Amino acid sequence: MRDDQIELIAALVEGRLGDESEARALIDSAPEFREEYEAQKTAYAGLRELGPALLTDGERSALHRDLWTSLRQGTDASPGRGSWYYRWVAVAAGMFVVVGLAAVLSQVGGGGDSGDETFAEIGADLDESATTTAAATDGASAGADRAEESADDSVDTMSDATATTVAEGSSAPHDEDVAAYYAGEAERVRSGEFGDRLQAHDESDPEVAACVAEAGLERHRPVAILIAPAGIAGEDDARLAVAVPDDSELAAATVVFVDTSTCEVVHTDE
Amino acid sequence: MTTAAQDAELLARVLEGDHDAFDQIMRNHEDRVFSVCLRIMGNREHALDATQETFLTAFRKASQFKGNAALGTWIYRIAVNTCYDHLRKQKRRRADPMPDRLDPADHSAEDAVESAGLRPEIERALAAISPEFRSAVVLSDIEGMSLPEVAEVLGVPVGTVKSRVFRGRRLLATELGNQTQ
Repeated sequence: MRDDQIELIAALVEGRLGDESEARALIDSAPEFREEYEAQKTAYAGLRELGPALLTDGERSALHRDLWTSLRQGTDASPGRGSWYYRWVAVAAGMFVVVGLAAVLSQVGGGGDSGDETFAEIGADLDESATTTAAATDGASAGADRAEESADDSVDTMSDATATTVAEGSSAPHDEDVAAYYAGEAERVRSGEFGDRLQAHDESDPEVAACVAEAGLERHRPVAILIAPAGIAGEDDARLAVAVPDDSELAAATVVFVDTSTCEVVHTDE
Repeated sequence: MTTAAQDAELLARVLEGDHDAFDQIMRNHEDRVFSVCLRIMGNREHALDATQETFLTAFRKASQFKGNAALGTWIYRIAVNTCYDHLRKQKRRRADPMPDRLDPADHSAEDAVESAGLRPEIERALAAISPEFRSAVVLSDIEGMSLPEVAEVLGVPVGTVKSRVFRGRRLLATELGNQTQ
């Protein structure tokens, strides 16, 4: 059966035809067309009869109450702006605090050996800070989100909040860190940074493809493998396969993250 | 003012921190989101969870909405993907039996459900076909969206939607036939 024939039958079933004679003639021309018409008609009538479902008053109230409770339980209840400006402000403010701290400690520590030790410690702190602030940039940590909130108030407040949250970035991530991590990685996928699909010469390619299929993503192609830091997809670092639908353009694709240890979808990014 | 203009204004207010504006967006779209989720997931409690998650995601990603599609389309797309995620997780946990009817826990509102004309045999048949066909027929035939609208929500070409709707109906009819035999 050709596509145009099926479409004609469907149009008849949906009542979209002004003149039904061509469709009726087609249905009468062969049993397979009659069968198709009956199947389409039965299913369409049933679905129309089913109709849209309605929320009850109780469900509606619970929905609103629970949603705002969830939002308030998070670090804030403001929609993410996702601006790089705020993220860079967060990073810059964090660096400013660390450098300022280093200057103060160098004054307190004085010269000689003890001063060298102090600088060594500061150097270690700076390295750690750089790691943390980089994580804040890549993963778009709560520091960024909180800096966004703070930016609405004042620069001073923002610096304080940022200093706190950059420090927090080194501990267990918040829900918003996790969301920001996935959003950031999804953008990298859409930008084509990882290419259009997982490289064929990658030895793990078949295994990853099988895992993606096992996750219920049969019509998806893996495009990358990521190691998500601890706290993102479990308590430990997690190896994630990143997949996009076969029939979507990369730039607009829904990006799905699959934990390769369990072959389960851990996140979907629109 | 058009719906699109209203949505744009509401969204701008949401980004300025106006929670009432987001509440209004929810009220404009929650019934349809819930309906789509219920028909895809086949369980009111799970559908309510997915509806809540959909709006949480929409709130958190409000700034990422680019206005290329209607706000509703964007929200329904989040809803469908959220439902898919929940279904995959359920599939790995256990096979949930379909309830005889998708009754609400709130029995005082049964009239509302009755008015929707619930048909257990169709619900069971719907649950038996794969989610990609199910979502296509739900959006097209139950929610009454046009094929281009469904294509936008599902993120696939219109031709793919047509194919999924027609094949979905055929599979549904087969399932209905199997039930009556």
